[in-house]
Amino acid sequence: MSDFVSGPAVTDAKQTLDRLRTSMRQTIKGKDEVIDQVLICLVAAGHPLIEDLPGVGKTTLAYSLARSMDCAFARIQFTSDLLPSDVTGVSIYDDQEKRFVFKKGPVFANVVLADEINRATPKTQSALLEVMDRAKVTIDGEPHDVGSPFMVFATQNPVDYEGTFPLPESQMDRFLMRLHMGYPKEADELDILRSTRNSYDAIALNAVATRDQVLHLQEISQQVFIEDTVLEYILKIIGATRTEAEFKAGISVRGSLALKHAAQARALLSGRDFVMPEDVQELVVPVLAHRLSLLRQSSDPMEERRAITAALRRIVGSLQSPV
Amino acid sequence: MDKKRPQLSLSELYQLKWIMGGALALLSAWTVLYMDVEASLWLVLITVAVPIVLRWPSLTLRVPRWAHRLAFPLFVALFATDFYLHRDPLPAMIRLALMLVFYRAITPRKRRDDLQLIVLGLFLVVVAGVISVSLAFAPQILLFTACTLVFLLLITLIDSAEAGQSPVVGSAPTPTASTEPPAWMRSEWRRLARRLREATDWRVAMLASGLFTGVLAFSALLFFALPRFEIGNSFFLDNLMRKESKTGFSENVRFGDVTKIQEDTSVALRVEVSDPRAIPDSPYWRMLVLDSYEDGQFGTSRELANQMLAQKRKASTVTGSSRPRSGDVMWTFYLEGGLSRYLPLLGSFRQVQFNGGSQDYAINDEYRMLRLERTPAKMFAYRVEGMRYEATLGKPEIVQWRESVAMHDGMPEDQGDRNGSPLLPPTFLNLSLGEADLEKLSGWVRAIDAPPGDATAFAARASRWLAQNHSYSLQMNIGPGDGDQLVRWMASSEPGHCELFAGAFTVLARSAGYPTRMVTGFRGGTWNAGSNHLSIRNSDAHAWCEIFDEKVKGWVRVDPTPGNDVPTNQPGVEEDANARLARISDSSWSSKLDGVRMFWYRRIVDFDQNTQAELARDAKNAIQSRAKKLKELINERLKLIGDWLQEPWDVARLVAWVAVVGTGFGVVLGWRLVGRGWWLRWRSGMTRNGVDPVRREAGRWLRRIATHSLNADDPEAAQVLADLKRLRYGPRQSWPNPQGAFRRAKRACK
Amino acid sequence: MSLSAPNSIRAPRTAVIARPAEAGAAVTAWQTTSARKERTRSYRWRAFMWSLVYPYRGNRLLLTLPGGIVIAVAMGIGAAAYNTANNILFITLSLLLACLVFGGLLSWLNLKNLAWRLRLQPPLRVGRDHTLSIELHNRRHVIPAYGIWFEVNMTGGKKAVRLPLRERLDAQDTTSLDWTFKPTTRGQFKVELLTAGSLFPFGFLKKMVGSELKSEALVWPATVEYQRFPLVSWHQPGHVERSTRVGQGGDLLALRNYARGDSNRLVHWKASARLRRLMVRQYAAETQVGFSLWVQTSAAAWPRPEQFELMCSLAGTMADDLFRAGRLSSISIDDDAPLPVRRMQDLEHFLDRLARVAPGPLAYQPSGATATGLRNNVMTFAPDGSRGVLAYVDGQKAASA
Repeated sequence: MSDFVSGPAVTDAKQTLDRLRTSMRQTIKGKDEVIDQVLICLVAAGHPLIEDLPGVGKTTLAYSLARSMDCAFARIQFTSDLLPSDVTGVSIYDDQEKRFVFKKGPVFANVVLADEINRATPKTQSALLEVMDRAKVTIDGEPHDVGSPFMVFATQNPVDYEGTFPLPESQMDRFLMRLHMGYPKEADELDILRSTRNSYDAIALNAVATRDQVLHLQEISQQVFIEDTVLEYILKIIGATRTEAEFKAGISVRGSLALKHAAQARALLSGRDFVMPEDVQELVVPVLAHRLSLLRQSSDPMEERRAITAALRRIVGSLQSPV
Repeated sequence: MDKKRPQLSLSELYQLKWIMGGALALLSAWTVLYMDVEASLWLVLITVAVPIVLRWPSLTLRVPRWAHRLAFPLFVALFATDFYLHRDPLPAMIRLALMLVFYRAITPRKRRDDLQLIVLGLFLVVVAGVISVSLAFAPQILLFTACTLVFLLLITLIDSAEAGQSPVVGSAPTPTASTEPPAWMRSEWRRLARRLREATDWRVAMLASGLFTGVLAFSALLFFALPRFEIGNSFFLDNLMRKESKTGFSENVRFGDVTKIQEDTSVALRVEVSDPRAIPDSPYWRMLVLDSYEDGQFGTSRELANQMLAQKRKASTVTGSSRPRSGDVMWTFYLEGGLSRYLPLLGSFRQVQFNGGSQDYAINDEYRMLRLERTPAKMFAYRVEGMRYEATLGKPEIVQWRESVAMHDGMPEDQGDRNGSPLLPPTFLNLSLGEADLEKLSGWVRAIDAPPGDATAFAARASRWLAQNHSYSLQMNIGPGDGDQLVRWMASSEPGHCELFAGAFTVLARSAGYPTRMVTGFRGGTWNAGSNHLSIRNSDAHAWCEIFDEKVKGWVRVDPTPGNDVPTNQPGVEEDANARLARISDSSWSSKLDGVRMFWYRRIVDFDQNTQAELARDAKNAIQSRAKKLKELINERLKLIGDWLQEPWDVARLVAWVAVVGTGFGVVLGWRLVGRGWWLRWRSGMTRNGVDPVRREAGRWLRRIATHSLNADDPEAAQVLADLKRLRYGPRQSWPNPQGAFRRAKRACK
Repeated sequence: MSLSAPNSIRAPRTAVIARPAEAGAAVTAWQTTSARKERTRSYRWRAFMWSLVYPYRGNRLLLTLPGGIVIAVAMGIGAAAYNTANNILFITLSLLLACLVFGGLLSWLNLKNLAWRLRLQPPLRVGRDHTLSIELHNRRHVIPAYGIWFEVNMTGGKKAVRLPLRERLDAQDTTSLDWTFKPTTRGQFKVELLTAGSLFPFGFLKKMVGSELKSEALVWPATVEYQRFPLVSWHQPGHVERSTRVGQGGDLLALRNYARGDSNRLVHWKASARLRRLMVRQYAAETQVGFSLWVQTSAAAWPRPEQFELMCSLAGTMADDLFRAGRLSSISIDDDAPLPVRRMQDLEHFLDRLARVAPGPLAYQPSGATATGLRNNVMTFAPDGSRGVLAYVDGQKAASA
């Protein structure tokens, strides 16, 4: 029973996370919710899929996170002619050494921004997804560890769907959350306009957390206590998606695990060593929505997203939360 | 997470229903065992067939179709024949009910048939109860009720499970073309038992049995509280069956009859006495007087029989010949059914009251005999007031005028001068023996050599003489030779039993010229300390003599059987009554069961309007006396406290007082602060599945706080909320003291 | 044999304990028997006495046949008991009475503290199977619930439908009782929960608790089979209304999902094989004909009600199909302004309206002077003979049903 975190460890974790949050707020204005969700992804060792229009700060978000924790950052712009080796790296023959030498691709970083991931061909997509899943690149049968911690920010543009290869549902499952940035509020945008810098390279952030701290966070987040009724609550939600008539298929086991980890991470984020039902409720939509698809296919992807969100909200509303 | 209880499937419900139906059939058939109806054929058939079809239900489908068609005409025909042959409606009806139960038990049943089975069973159980009033009725009806309730419950469950669906194929009682048995018929019962155990929640089971106990308690309450008023009596089921009394307590007694009764150790008579001190030392319960001895058989002569004055009208009370005295005790007799129509009595009495309404009876005050017109088939209870235990039966104290309806012919013209000596008809001196036997008798009388005219002395000597020659045994072994068997036995030195001794004494005394008679009844009895009553068993049956003593002008009791004391004229005055009771008391298991049976008779079967009023009065008195006692107690305590307060105060006393109050306060406070929390924690550690109590309690507070909209900025409120959340969702190791958190929450909610 | 008695004194035994989840989901609020909150305080003798005279709607206690038999047997035994003063009979009588009371108690316990709600999953469509479910929640802590049924009245149904709870419902558990039905007419569909009843435990008493839960939903017209006539505008970009983004030229822009109506020449077989679904090439200049649907509902044009129904169905089906093919540009009913169709919601709104329309008086000028009349690719409907319905595109026969 003692493998639960408690007391000082939680306080430490909260302080670290608070520092990260404050640091990211300096560059991302008025998007506290998104920052929290990104931090949850970080703590739960998951990868966010950010879906929004271009130019709302997706890259800035990823970059400021990387800078805040003193990590290597890489950005890959996905296009339809991008090859898997462009992502993972390639072995080239070294004339001097008379053997193949592995040249690391951009994925060998801690925070990887995979921009417009749905533009690439499925082959390339799956190469990235494999790395996401295992935090490893296997070239010529030889595994190479990517950075640790490792986090992929994938983005896709939901409106401009022409000429894309939408990620299949099975692949969507590998993202912990799907986030929406949305436009900032007027006051926040005014703030942004007033600021002097205009490219993300100009972001000057000090590292407020070390990699080890982040890894430790990831480790202890798994030990956050979940009471049985809360676990049952998660199961009930998952079960409801499986019986809901509107959905093509329910949430997989990976999905329920993801919900659990995310809830643990959220508890840690709010400085608790135990999970509350509200953690689960808050995370149902970001964690589960992208794993579901409607039975009645809608021609408009945004329409479909709205319908799924509404259905999930309804499920959460109809289930009695464990009090 | 607790495992979900499995649901019983439809076919399992069917199996259960089938089993319950079989159990009901068996239960109702076994009532025959104590009903005294010749239906053993059906009993055996049901007892054998029902377990078989319970085990292999598919056998029921093997019954060919024509058999089902024939069944009812056959039953009707059987019933008609039965009734025609026996002319006894009730046994025939019982047999018909048994046939129907048999048929229903071994054929597949529909809902309607299930209900029929229940009604038939109820009929059998109730009829058996009514005509036997046996204690067995109580467990029987309880078991029957429980089974029926479960059965009906199963039917309802099956109905709701089948609602809107076509019924399971084959559950219909027409096993016609479908040779395929329905699914529920092939099953392993062990698996069913396991499933049943899995599907049963102990809490629900406890609740159900608790509720059932409540039903029993409620029905007991109803039973005692239902308003009672008598409309009429005597036309019901029990009169539809005849019952013969046991030989031995009838007008003719053959040697060995009483002995036969003695082999039976069941209780024949229970006597309840309002004052146990009135029980004599060795009571002789007289039943009937035998005067004639012919052909080796004692009997009541026609003359004597004619003196039993049958009363014209039925009555529920009989006024006797004894004078009322102060300190008269009340005797209540519970005579087992089928024993005798002569009621056991100790002697003369002032009044007898029959429980359960008026009866036809006959009485003779001289002989202290009271006889009912017919042998009661079930337990018969009567109360006797002012009964005297007389060693010498003199003339009646009060001569009651009896209106007789008996035939007058053959009766002596003069019934004797009522104010003179007791009647001495010649029957008490009759000896219808051969010459040789008479001579032998007079020889023995000479050998006894008693002073003439002294009946008491003769009795003592004759008893001693008999005891010298014969020992007591239950075996009857009459000596060789011919002639009268009694004389033969006297001539031998074989052992004998009470009848032989009493008979021998009678003929000896008669041949010596003393009027003598033989009396049968019971002797002794054991005191049941558990339920405070005297039980007299069949094995206490006895025969003794009464010899007329001219000196006292009365009949003196003589018990010639060896091992019994010579009649004591003053019954147990010296011996302490309690010691006497202790001597005869019995506390074995069978006596405890007997106590239960006594309760059954005393409080249930014998319950009537008067008893109800008595019960109500008793309850009222008890409550009043309790209240009074409580009041006294409180007053006393108050006075004590007052006294104590008025005592002078000093330091030591003050300190002691403060210490006591402080300790009490500390205990309460400690409990509230720490103890209850520990208790909750301990209990939550015990909880295996479900939400543990602390979490549940914390959840309750959280919900309540949610409706109160606490001030979130208030640090105290925030702390309360955090504590509650931790208690509700946090790991157990990190819990704050639950009780404290709940108390703070309570304060915050105000 | 109908003992009518109120079974719960505490006023309108229904209490709403949760707000309706969402309007669109057609889930009603929970309704409960004897909720804990508003108890005891509202208990008044006057209310109780009145409830004896006027029982709450639907709250009834009926005697069943076995119950009648039991009471008859009890009366017989009681008569015999009083006639003979036989205590055995008194025992049996009191046991029987106690069992009756026990049955009533269990029945009351069984229906106590339950909550239920209706769930109707829109959209409903004529001729399709839909499920009506009653979610039943046992709010008790220990006692399971058994053998409860609900009687439901719905439009189009002749008599009340009975939804039984076939299995045990454990404490704190929820189950769903489903009823599959096929709506027969379009328009407003009402479901009313009449009573919750139970024969539990012994089948002596039929206890019913009234319920006034109602749920409504719109039933869209049926989908019908129709026949398309060869028509230029089905395939060709005649009078063009561009409905997709136009690129620079005729070269490949992207691949997209196959949609109905796409030419099979456009299928990108390699991509289809890779993605395991049909993908078509999308050219920069791809265009499509967008149709405008115009439904006229004048009673003069549609004298026969069946034909009107058929028209509604055809219009609905047509709109659905065209929308799926991405070729529905606008919709209008009678003289309303044409509503552009961009999202699913617009189509649903149109179908909702189609579910309600009835033949009405002429409220507009049919002479083509309206806005719709001026547009191109307008699909209108007209009777075809005595049964059929024809769809016209700009006056040309396009389809028939």
